[in-house]
Amino acid sequence: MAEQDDEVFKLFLEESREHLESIEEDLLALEAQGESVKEDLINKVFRAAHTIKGGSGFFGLEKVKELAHSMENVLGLIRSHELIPNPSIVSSLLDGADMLRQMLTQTASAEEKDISGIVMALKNCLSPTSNDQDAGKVNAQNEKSAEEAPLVIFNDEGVELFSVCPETLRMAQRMDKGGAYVYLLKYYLLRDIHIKERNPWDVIQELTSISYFIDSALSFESAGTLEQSDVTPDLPLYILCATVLEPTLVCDCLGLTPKQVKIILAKPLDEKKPTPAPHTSVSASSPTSSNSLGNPETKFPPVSKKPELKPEAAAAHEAPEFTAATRTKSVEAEPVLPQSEGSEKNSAEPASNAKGKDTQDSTVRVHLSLLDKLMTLAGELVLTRNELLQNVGEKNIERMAGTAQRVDTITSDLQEAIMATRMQSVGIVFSKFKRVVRDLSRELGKKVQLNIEGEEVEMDKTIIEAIGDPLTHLVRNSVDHGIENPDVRKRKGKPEEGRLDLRAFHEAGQVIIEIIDDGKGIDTKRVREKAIEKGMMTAAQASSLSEKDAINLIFAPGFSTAEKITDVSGRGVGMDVVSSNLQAVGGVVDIATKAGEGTTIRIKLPLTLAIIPSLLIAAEKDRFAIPQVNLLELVRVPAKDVKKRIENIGSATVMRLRGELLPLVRIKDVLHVDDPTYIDPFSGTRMPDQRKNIADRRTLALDSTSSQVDDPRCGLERRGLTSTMQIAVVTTGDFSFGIIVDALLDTEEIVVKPLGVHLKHIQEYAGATILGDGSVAFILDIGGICQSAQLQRQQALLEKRKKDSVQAKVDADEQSLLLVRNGLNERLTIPLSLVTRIEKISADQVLTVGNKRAMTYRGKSLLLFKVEDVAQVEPLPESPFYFVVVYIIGGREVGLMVAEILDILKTRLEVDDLTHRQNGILGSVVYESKIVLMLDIYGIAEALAPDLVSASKKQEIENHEHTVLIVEDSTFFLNQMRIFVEKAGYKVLTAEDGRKGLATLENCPEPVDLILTDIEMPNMNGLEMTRAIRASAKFQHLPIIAVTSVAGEDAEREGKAAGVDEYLIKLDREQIINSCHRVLSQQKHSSTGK
Amino acid sequence: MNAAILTSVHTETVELVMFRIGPLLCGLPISDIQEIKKIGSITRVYNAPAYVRGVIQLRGQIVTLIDSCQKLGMDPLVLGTQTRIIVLKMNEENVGLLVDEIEDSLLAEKNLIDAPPANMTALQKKFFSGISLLSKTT
Repeated sequence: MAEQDDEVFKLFLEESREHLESIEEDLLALEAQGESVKEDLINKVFRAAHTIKGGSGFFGLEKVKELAHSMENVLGLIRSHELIPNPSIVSSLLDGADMLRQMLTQTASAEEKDISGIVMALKNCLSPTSNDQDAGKVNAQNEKSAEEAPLVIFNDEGVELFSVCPETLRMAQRMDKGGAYVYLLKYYLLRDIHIKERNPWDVIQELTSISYFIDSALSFESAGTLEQSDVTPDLPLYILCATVLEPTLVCDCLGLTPKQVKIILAKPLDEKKPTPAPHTSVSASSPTSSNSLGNPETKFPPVSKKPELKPEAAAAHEAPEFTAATRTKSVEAEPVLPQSEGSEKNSAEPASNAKGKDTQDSTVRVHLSLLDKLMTLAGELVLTRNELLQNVGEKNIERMAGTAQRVDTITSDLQEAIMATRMQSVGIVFSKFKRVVRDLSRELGKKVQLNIEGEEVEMDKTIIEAIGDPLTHLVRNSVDHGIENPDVRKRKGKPEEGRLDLRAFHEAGQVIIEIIDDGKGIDTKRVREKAIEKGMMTAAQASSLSEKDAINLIFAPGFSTAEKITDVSGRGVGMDVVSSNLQAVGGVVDIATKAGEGTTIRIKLPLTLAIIPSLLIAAEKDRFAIPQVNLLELVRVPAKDVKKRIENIGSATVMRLRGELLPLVRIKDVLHVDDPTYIDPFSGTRMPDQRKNIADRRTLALDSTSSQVDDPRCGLERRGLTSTMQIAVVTTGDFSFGIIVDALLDTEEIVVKPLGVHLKHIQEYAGATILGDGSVAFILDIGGICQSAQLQRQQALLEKRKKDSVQAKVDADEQSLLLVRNGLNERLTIPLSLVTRIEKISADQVLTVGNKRAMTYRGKSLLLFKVEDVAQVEPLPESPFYFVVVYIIGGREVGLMVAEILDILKTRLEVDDLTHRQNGILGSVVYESKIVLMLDIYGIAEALAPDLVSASKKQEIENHEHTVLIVEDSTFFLNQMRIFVEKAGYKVLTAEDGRKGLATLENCPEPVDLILTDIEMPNMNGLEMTRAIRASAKFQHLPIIAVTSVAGEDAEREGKAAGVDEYLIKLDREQIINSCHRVLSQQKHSSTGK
Repeated sequence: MNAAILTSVHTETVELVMFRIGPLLCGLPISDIQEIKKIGSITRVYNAPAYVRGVIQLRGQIVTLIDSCQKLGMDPLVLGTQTRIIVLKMNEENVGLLVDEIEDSLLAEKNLIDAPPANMTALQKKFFSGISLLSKTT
């Protein structure tokens, strides 16, 4: 019995908590709706309060009942449009809901809570002193309720059962299931319910199906004492309800004797009549007598006020939510009961003991469809299992395979479905932030707009529970420290209302939660200062921290940069708790900030904990698992490429992967294997491995380039086998690197088993798993490996080195050059961007017509040149075949013949345009200690087929009145561009960097019509200059064409974003000139008198 | 004998399982022992503390194996035919203790258990809760 009671009570708490969960959001919505309160919404909230009131009374939670009741009053007035939910009213209601929630989670101390403040506040909401209301209406209402004294209902013994407000009665009579008749019903728990093999639930359901429930009371005292042996002690349950049914019908329907049904009212209570005197007693009279307010004639034993049952005729629309079982009270209370006070205490005691423990939320709501799915899968599994058993019994191997496969599929589905039951949507956590932000912003006098995205993203329940507090702290931080006061924001030119975005989304097998604010950002200087102040590090250490590390300082324990400790944050205990809480569920926090603009906090969380897909790799004699979420790609480096692709930089080993440098580690080093081995492919046995450096190879002559044989490192001691490398490229999310493994094995879904206490702290492992054959495989923790191998530090060094080298050569842009061979020893280059195609032809395809060379090519004739036709270079040797570099001049394709295509260089051009300058040669570059001539393919074409080139020149003559400003730091390119821009007929001004460009623009006497600018320049680069130009009123509309060697969509986008009109590649003379023409003619047409 | 009468009404006994760690004869209350296993396949754990010999898989659980010799400051245990794993019940997880040989089990009287000798090194003292006098030498 006790368990049932406990269960019932738990049910009640469960339900109430649910009501309260949504209540907060609903109240906020009500506040937003203001005058135009939606019917459904207010009804919903009202019902919630009403339900809680009802049920709490039943369990002896008097204070809860009182509080719920006062909330209900306010809500009732809102519902009847006599009150408008303004912020102060809603605040009081929210406070009430908070208190209710507290009381219902810590039920043991519920009754000791002081609710007088809140109740007073709620009462004030009703009173005329609250603002924003129709005072008249409210007054009338209040007078009505003030004048009317409550109706007191006694039982037969004259003990007060209920004290009801007449208004309530009237309302009850008006309600759906209500009616003119108001009855006092007396159920005997033993006789009527238990013995008849019914339970209170049924009774109540039955009752509410035919009537509107008003109130109930359980009488302990009337249970009698042990001495009263003549009457079998029974517990009467009194119920006050309103219905249309007549007395006799009521008796029939409910199975009660007429004596158990007393009429309180038989017709609607008169409106607004001040009732005669307080404490008018309403008696229970026999069914047939009419409405009389006479004295009680009862045989009911004494009664003490007791809890109510949960009501709700209106709630009959929803599933009737009941907490039944008053029975237990009878068990606990025992017939031996002293008088009212004592009994109340006693009954309250056991009751509160039953609810003593804090009933935390250890349940989950699962959609029925999911449970159905689970049932179906279980059923299928059973059938398949039977089949499997049969197959094994019959030793039927063929059929077993099929059955096994089915088991496989069903198991996967089952696993999925079960995991889904634990998934809850993140919206649960997010929705409570609406309240947090609202209250906090009001408290601090700030305006904050909260945007929530991705509420439907689902995560495992444990994770959701764990992130609640950390997220709250972060959100509060953002509002408190991030977003500035409205006036400060105004001064800064920001909108007064701050923005706070909460986003949740999936990415790479994880859930990302972002908290973005447009506040003042994190001042890393201040953070560093604080760290020094707190003695966490010296000034030198603090200043040597990278930006990222400085920001991460705020996660250190005891850290807080708040000037004073507000109630909200600033106690310095927040951020490290946040960080550790999140780490406990496998989450990672990352902060990006821009001073003055805002902060973005990114939290990465795993989707689920237990089963993950992974890649198995072999190292030494063991196997290890790499979680697939960490795995980017697999790379195989053949033995002969090892030397080429893998390099040592300082102590770090890196590999070139699509242009980027990827740090590498050996799995053996990660595991600190001190006796490494490898498998000899010829003999198949394990041998000790002597290699020191990764890029050392164990064999001599497996590659063609003979230069390696003399290398002392791969000497004779190291013999044996290919060292083809298998590399797994992994990532921690922010940082990627490669692990060299012995062999790659399967991918498998593995169950993560936690490591024991002796092994938990090992950074490199995230857990372990048991493989199909029973052996243990450890799961690699990529983040941990990164840390323990100190890879990030290495990477930082690499980055730094890269950056340094970039800084050093600012004026030398990197260009892709096609390296070709012309004469036997002569190497020439052509900027790759100008080349359309490269073709290989045989000598007999070259036709000589007059003094021109050509070949048929794609149905057309292609003019062919040789460098020697124009420039003083070695002649092209005769050969059965040639290579033709095809490019476009004057809209037509032409071809340059060369002997051999050598390579494509990406190099920083430092073009020497003096030494080797001549027709057809632009200049020279130094490559591999040799001089390489740079071809002027336009010059060559021009010299040899002037008519082609002139075709494109015709337009140029009209343009002589335009002035073009060329901004370019490299003298070489500047000259080149000047040459052909002038040739095109424009006047040219030049500047060497952005700043000078701006100065020229300002100070120039003639107006500049067009700017051709490089991007990469010192002092002020092209983008900055563009932005400055676009920001100025005078030059806003000046056409700007960016000419650069940096190609790519991103660069182009950036350029366009800065305000550039067109984005072109350097040295593509034709395109540049065409663009100039086009842009300027557009300008001419569109401008109004420039 | 008289002493025995003077003490408790019934002498409390505890059943000990005896095993050898190196030259030492040790015992553990049987209530602490989950099971005793022969050596199967032990998976080596890199980067683990020295006294962790590896892990084994026991009915779906991963059990850490501690080399008892190393833990007591002696040379690492040499695996032999008599080597056994004593799986101990601990709070949340089971831990395996690698020992040289299992001896008998003994019903020891509690009052015959003395405190460990004072001249035991501090490291070893940590691991011993008492010394029991055997009635017969084996």
